[in-house]
Amino acid sequence: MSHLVRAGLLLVVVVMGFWYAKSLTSVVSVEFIGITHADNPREWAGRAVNNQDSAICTECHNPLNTSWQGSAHVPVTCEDCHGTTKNHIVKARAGQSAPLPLVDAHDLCLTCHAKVPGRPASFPQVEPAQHIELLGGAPASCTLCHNPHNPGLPPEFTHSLEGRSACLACHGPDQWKPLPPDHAKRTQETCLTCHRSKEGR
Amino acid sequence: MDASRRRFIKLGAHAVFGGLFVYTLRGLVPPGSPSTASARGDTAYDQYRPTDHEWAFIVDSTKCIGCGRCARACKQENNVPMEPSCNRTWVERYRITREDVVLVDSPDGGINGFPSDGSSGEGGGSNSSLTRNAPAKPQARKREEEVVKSFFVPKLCNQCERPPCVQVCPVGATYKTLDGVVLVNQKRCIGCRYCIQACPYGARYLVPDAEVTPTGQKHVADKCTWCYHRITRGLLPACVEACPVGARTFGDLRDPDSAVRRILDEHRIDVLKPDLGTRPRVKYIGLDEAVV
Amino acid sequence: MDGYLYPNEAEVQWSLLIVLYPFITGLVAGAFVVSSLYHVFNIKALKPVAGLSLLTALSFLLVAPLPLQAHLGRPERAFEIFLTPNWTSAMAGFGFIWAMYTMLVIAEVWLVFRPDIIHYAHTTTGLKRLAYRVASLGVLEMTEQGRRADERLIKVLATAGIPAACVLHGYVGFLFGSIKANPWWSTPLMPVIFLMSAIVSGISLLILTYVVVSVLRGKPIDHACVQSLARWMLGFLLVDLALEGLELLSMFYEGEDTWPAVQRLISERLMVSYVGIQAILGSLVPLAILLVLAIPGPVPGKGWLYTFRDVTATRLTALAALLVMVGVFAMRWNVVIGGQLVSKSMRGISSYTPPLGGREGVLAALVFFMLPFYIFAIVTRLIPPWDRPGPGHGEPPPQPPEPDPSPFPVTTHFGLQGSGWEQEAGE
Repeated sequence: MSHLVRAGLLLVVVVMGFWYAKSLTSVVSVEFIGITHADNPREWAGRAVNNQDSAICTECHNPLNTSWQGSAHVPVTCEDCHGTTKNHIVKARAGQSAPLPLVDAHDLCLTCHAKVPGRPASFPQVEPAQHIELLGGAPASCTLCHNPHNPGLPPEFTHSLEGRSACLACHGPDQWKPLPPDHAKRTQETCLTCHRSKEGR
Repeated sequence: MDASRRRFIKLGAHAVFGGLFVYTLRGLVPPGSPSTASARGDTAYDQYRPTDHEWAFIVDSTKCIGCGRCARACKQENNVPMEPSCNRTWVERYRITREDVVLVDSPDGGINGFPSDGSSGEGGGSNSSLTRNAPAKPQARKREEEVVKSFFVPKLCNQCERPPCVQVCPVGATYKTLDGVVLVNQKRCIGCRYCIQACPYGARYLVPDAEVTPTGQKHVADKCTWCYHRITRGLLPACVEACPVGARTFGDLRDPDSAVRRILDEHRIDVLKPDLGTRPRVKYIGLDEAVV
Repeated sequence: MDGYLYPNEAEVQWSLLIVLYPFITGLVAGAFVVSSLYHVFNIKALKPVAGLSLLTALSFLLVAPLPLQAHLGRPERAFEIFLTPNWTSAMAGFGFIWAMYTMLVIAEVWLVFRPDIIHYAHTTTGLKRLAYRVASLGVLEMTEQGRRADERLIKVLATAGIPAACVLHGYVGFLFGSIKANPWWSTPLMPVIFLMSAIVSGISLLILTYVVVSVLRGKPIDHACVQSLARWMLGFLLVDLALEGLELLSMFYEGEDTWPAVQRLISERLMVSYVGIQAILGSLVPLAILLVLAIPGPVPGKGWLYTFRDVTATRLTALAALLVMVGVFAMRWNVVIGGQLVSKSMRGISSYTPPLGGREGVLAALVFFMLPFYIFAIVTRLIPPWDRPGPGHGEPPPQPPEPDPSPFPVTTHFGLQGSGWEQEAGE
């Protein structure tokens, strides 16, 4: 019968070798979480925060921030439009040049504000083609009329005259922001005689 | 005593004492992998007591505008690969026609928003811009194909109370923390993808060969962590922070003043696939019967 | 891709290799069951394949973990299944079930072939002699006491091996059947369906192996053995078809909200592989063949529909076995791949074509499938299950059967006729 004894011994050796290898590599930790995991929640919790809070931008961008904080766009974080700002902040704080170009700015507005079926009716949205018609086909980008940091409805914006030669497109009698009553019947050409001094109203 | 019996007893004694000897050698071996974060002195997590918090996540589908800022912020925050098949969170659009046909789509997970001309927008739905050619007027649709109802549904890992993914992981790499968040130990994950099969919500994916990965590990399972590194520091998850219309809300139910407490007390709540018994902890307002 | 898939479902996760794995373990379970039919239930007709089936089981068993490991995202971490298994996971069971079963089969092979090993340890030279001496664990004499102990232990192992085989393949079925997220997989019948189709495939593998090996060796085929195997295959095939049919029928009848998605899966993606190959070619055709061949007729010595010659009967059985194996592979494909083609949104169907090359491609699968045959060739060189030498064995090599006018042994036991339960003449 000794062949069975030898075989049995071989089996015992193999099994014990396995348990030994197992004990070398397994660390029992918190029961609830399971074996080998005591440190893993800590590792996940220790990961670096990448997205920055909009409040951090206040450090430098103060006047801008004040208008934004009172505007309809306050639920939109700075990073929603400007993308990751982490590198920009680090460099700027160190005094280095830190440009943060805004890519695809005109598409950004439409990402939220284009008229897409499914958006709640109460949410401000435009059909881009119709919106252009409304303005006489003139504006080329949203920011020409809408201040992204304080969009307003209707937008309060400073007029840069460049690209806005068609005054009556917006201010005509049946248009979106008509002329005040005492300005009735004035034509395009007379506008600029008064309204031209500097960038302003 | 019989010679063979003597031999047998000797053999047995050798086995027992040999085994004990081998067993004590264990004690000479240092314990497993050292903690890296505690070596760094992560004081924020040291002060965090998981059992003090009962996190809740509420999605208000009636507010969602499908802009995809949440998906984008998540990928930026968590170093998720930009591949369209890697989504920790995504937005779905449901369009229901007059004949009750339900059309669902989620171009690239909604990360670029949804197209404005109402088309299905497969493979990246970039919105038309004012400077580009104005979109053609939508083709006249037959009356019965006309979409009569549509809405957006943001989705993410539901951090189930009874997670099937934790149940099936063969090596225990995915687990539930003491504060109820389901995490993946990516150093242990063997990439068998059983958890991906088991998740009823499609919330998990396998990290591909990409330059940027959440923890530097490839070919392991990954999923939404409710931005565990943010919530343990008192911040909001990236998607909640990024949502411009407040469709996502996150908070601590133990805090009687929290928004989530108020919402759960005042609204009727739904969850996804309640019949499966996973008890999701992401609660929905405004789900439709068409949403699966 | 049709309809809507969740964004993370763009790729099919479990590939051709995961189709191959249950196919291989199924062959193991089936081959072992045949060997146990001889060693435990003393079905003498199966004697020619008793040793062969053990070696076949062993060859496939050794290869079984390879497609799994090749499929892992992190194959180098595969051993974690042994180190830190999560006991709620069916997949974690794999490590221990497979290891335990391998040890059982190795032990049984060793005990069954120990007389041969001892014989070869005496009659060979050089490296081979060393190998045989190591394999004998240094015990070079076959004592009567040892032989009796061996026979008892063989019976114990063969008996224990039957539930072990059930677990070996049942757990795979449970692995799929317990996934509530997937409507095509989720059913309590899955472990039993997998097990029954495994046994069927194992028996068919043995038929084919026995026939091919006999032809290659130029030795006569024991037709009664082949017919006995055919009968067992028929029985298990009927049970398997009943269960699979029941599962589909109840899904259709109950018509849960997931049924339209499943229906779409079958009609749009699985028509060829499910209806064509698994059902018709792989189940109904061999069923028809076996029903004609293997059911005894009212007149002893003649089939109920037609009386075949031995050789023809064996050829038809081999054909049926081949079809069954193809059908069982198709079944694994339909379950593993088919289940993943249905989106969990229940609104979409995707598609899958395995790549030709790469770690999980068709070529890799072919290599994994051919590997057990190579191992089998080597093992049968070392311890051939035929022309067995050695003391204590007591049986001469199988003689060519007596010419018999009828294809079936004549008995008076209706229903058990030719099943091998009856004693052979002269025993």
